[in-house]
Amino acid sequence: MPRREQRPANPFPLIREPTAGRYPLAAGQERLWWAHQLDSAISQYHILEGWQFPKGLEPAALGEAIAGLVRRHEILRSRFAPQPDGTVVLEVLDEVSIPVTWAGREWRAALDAAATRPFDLAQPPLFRLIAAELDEGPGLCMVMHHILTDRWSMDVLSRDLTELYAAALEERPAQLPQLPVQYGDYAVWQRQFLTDERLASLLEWWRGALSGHDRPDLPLDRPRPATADGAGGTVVAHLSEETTSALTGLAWRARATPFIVVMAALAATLSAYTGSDDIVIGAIVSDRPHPDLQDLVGFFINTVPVRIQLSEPGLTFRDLIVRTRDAWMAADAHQDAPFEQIVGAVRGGSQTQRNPVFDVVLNHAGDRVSLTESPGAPVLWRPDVPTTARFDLSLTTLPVDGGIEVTFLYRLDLFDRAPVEAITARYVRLVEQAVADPERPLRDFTLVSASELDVLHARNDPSPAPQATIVELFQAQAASRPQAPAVVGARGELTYGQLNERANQLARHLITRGVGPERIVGVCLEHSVERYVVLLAIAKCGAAYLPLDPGFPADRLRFLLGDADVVLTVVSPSLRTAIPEHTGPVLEVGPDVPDLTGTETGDLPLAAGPDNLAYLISTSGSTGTPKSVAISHRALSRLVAGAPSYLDVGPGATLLQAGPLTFDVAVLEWAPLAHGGRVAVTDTGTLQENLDTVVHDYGVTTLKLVSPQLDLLVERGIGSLAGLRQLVVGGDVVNPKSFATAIDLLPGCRVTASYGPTESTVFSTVFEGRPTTGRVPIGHPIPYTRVYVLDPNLDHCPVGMRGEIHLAGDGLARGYHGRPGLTADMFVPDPYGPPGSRMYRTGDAGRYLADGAVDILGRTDRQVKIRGFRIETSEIEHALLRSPGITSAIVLRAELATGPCLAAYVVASGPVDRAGLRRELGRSLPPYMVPDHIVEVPRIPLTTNNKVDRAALAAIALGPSEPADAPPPETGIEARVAEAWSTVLGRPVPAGGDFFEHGGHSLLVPRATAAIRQLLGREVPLRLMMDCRTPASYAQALLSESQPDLGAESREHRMERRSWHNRTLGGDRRVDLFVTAADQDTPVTRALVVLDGSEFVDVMRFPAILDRLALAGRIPPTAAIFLSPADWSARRAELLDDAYTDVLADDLVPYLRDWLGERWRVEQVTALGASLGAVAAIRAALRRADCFDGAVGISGPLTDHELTPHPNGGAARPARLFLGAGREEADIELDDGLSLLEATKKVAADLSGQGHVVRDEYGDGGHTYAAWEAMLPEAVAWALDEH
Amino acid sequence: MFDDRQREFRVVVNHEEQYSIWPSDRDLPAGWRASGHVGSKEDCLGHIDEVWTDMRPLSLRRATAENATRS
Repeated sequence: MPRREQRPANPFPLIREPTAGRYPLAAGQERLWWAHQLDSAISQYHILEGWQFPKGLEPAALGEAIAGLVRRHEILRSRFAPQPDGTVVLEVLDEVSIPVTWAGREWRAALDAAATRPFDLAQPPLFRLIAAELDEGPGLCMVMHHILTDRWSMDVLSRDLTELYAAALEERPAQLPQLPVQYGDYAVWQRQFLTDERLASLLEWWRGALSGHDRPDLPLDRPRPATADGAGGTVVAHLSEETTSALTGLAWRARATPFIVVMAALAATLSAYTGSDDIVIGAIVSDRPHPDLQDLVGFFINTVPVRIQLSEPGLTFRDLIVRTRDAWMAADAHQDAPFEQIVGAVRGGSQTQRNPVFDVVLNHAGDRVSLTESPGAPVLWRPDVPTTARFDLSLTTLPVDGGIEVTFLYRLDLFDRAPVEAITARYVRLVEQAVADPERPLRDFTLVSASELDVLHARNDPSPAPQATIVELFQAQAASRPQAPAVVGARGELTYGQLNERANQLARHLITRGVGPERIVGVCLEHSVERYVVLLAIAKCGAAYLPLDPGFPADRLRFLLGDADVVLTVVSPSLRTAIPEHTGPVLEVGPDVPDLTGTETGDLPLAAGPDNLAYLISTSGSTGTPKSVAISHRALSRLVAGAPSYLDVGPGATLLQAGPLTFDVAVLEWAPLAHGGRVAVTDTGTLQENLDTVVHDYGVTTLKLVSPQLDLLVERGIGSLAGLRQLVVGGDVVNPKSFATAIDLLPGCRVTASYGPTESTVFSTVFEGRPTTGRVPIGHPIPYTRVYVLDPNLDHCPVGMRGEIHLAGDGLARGYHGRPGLTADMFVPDPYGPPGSRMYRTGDAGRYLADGAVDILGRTDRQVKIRGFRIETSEIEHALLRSPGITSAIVLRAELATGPCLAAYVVASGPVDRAGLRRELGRSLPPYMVPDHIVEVPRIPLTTNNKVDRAALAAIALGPSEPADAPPPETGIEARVAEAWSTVLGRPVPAGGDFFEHGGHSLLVPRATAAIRQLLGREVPLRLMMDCRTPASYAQALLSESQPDLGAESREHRMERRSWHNRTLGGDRRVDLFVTAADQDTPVTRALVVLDGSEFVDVMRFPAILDRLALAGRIPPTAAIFLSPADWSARRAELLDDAYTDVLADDLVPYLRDWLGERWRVEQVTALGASLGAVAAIRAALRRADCFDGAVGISGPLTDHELTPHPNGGAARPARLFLGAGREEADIELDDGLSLLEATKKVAADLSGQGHVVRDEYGDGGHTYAAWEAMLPEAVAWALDEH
Repeated sequence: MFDDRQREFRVVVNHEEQYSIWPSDRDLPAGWRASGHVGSKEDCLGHIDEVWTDMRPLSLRRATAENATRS
């Protein structure tokens, strides 16, 4: 056995530093502090504990006890003080007073308020006390922020409070263990050991340990919301004393612990639920790695990811325990790496709304410390408060009375109760069976109870379908209602009697052409009433029909006809040319041909038995060769006989199905013909356009559409179909939005979703109702049909568990015509049905809802793998459909020269904002699932069988990909954000780069945000980085709050932006013009040339400053032109180039003059800039005195650069120069050793000595926008003054 | 299960002489008997392609034959 790594002990001594007062945060605290910053309103980190005082509660003694408690534990009088650099420290205060709310009988309201009111972590106390008058006597409840405490600490608190209270009552000193150290000492000690080097090596290990983990998904009952509300629910179960002792025994024998065993069982359960054998669980462990920490109150919790591999066919529970043990011990040995750091290292935090790395945690708690046994001592009191859930799903196992209490805690916004009950039941059943029989392969256990299956399978109908064929059913109707209308179409109507007689005549003719049982007749027919004469005649002969689409290529038709070995092809006269030559005999059948006058019209003897073929439907095969599904009369009768239970097809009903004959849904038309209803037949071409007219003209009551047709209809206004009695929609993914719209806009109309592959004869399940899961479920089986959701081991899935949908019953096809091997592969023995029966493997993934309805999750084979990620395209489709403007969406894997990518084809009701859509998707999907291309299409193309034509979509050329990494920063603020983030991350982040994808993690967010706050000089919420994760989007968000606050009415003509191309500088650059005078005729007498223009316009709101100065009469009418660099990366070189000042003088100022035209009466031109821009501005004024009269330069590193490169061409006349710097810039050292502040003073003195008019000013702040903005009004007012 | 390339299957037949496959290491479902052929899935399906020449259910074949003899 390989030597196991042990967690190294911290070699530093854990010592008390009584004078410190300020401590770093422990790693776990930092994590909680961060979570609090993100959402301080959330109360999910509030911990509650209560006690009852059987002998009464003495306020004075309680006060004394609490004061003693606070004296004893420094953490209870600490505050979390944010530092300017974004970090936070723990500050211990000498005293904190703890008010007790004496709520009396009204304690419930007081407690609810205390439990939910957010804490301000900078304001102690971070706990609240409510004294209550309970029925049982007085009680005390304490609400604390988790950052101060953990479960163990609550036991410590209980003990300490009890003793302190007793001591106060008895007026004696409390007898409690000495506390050698305090929590802050622990944090220092923890940090000492975690050197950068050690952290790096730990993270390296974690990178390896978690690499290649393909995070599995638990099937959710609701789409993951953008913000979690933390509301939770619990399902509790118990492991008996017997099971628990078997579990403990097994644990020790496997050299593991009960904790490992409960973890192994959880891994097996999650593996089953997610269908993945690579599971990561977050183990929540109490970590007090030093004896001196035992009696402290504080947060000593670590969250350790444990990765467990379950891939092995015959894995036994004992094997799994060993694997889990080894995985845990390795993780434990490396648990000193703070979790947030691990997240950063493995880039596991890229989904905002999902816990990083894992979704499910395990919390195996030890026994609770019992309180003092003495009579009258306080006893624990658990007030009933709303449960909060911090993770998607948590399992807590707690020893109780010799057994183990198993609690699954789940997020109410993600799960319904029933699936969690099923998970709990399965978990308990697994533990019970596995601890009793650990050597048995896990797959052999029966983990779904018979009673649960009874519920799930209650609607499975094992009874055989009636034997009567459609011929018998139709003839019975024809006999009883010969005058009733049977079919209606463009060329008129046929009654039951007429249809029967004509079919009898044609059948007699067909028999003469060799048509009979087990023979196949090709049919290529118009959408006319003759279609039913032909189909019925073929059935009466006992033969089967094979529908052919006249649009099929000749080769395909030839293949199909040959493959089916047809004896005859019946064709409408108008379609005769569609049938290729040399494919056997052809018979034209139309209104007048063949002439069957005189042929007998009475019924023929029944020719077909239930097992004879009724029809073939060709479908495309995965190999590219079409295959034909062979359906018997038994299967067809199963559909038709049971139809009235879910389809309105009886007398008075008119069915219209909007598909061609080659689509198996056309088979549904037999249902009205067998039950006395009527069929409307029309060209599908017409249907797409004026469905409402058709519905109205033919009096359609029952309409069957495929889901893309419904989408189209909803888009055009489904209200026009009012009056419809039933709308059935099926095929591909039913769009839940369209489905709901149909329900809303068609009052009184039954809206039904249907599901069924051709192999199980048109329909297998139907659903009615309002979908709640973000998907439309496929519902329950129709009569004579069984549905199973089976796991890969062919075991039944419990509620909520993902599995493959299997279908069984009389609806199953005989198989694929002439494909025995393929048939044997797809139609397999049904171990749950009558002896010898088969089931069809659909390849569709689904799960049971609580009532046994099936929720379809997509194709098991429609998972694509891109860049190593397994992706369910239907999940992306559903996410797209949740976006308001998107009416249909199909996602495909596309192959481009640059490699495989995801392409989304969308139909939208308005213009599509691709970037916005991608941002929106990014909120609910991991980055690798956000499509690389979003292609807008007018509609989703359909195949002739009305399925989504994926091939046609794939053929649409994709534009250039829209990569996640955008080009270099476009604006100054974008560049500054990218720079600040890059500094924090220690690696470059491009403007379009995701902070979290570039190694960022949540603990770095405060630092990165602090850098931006400094820069802007204003508050920026931490949350902003979670929503705007790239410098580009972040900068955009910052700017949207800092638009110049000019009066809108006069703004248009005063603030103008153009793109300007200058040959010397190169590149198209942004120029903004702002004129202070509101009146368009007012001449301007001052011009300002502002460098790094976008920063002054967008961030410092300079136009507004100018406006105010002008209004106050402090400056004459002024025109300012703001010049931005074309490319921020070239900015530095450009600003320091002599040619730049020449361009300002020779090109930009003339450009401004042209722009102003008549209004140009400029007497003075002033250059203005900050930082390097200040250098360029002053240099321009000195070097090009012919053009510039002065300059404003703020915070320029002036001594680093030559200000007058050509002494000869230097200032001929004195310039008016304003030099400014911030006092904090005393910290910025320039190359010559002077600080920026000193350099400014020195240069001001030098220039003044040279005879220039110089003013220098020193303001608050540092090298930031905020400081510059503050200095601008005075600087500009002075510089533009007349002189 | 059926898409597991590593698994060994056997060819099975039901009362209607419909063929299918079933994992070798699992008990046969009621109403199915093993034909005797064992191998990879591919191998079994190939075998079925050869032996299952008349895909009509046995009862139908019998009924058809009876009709033929009667008439």
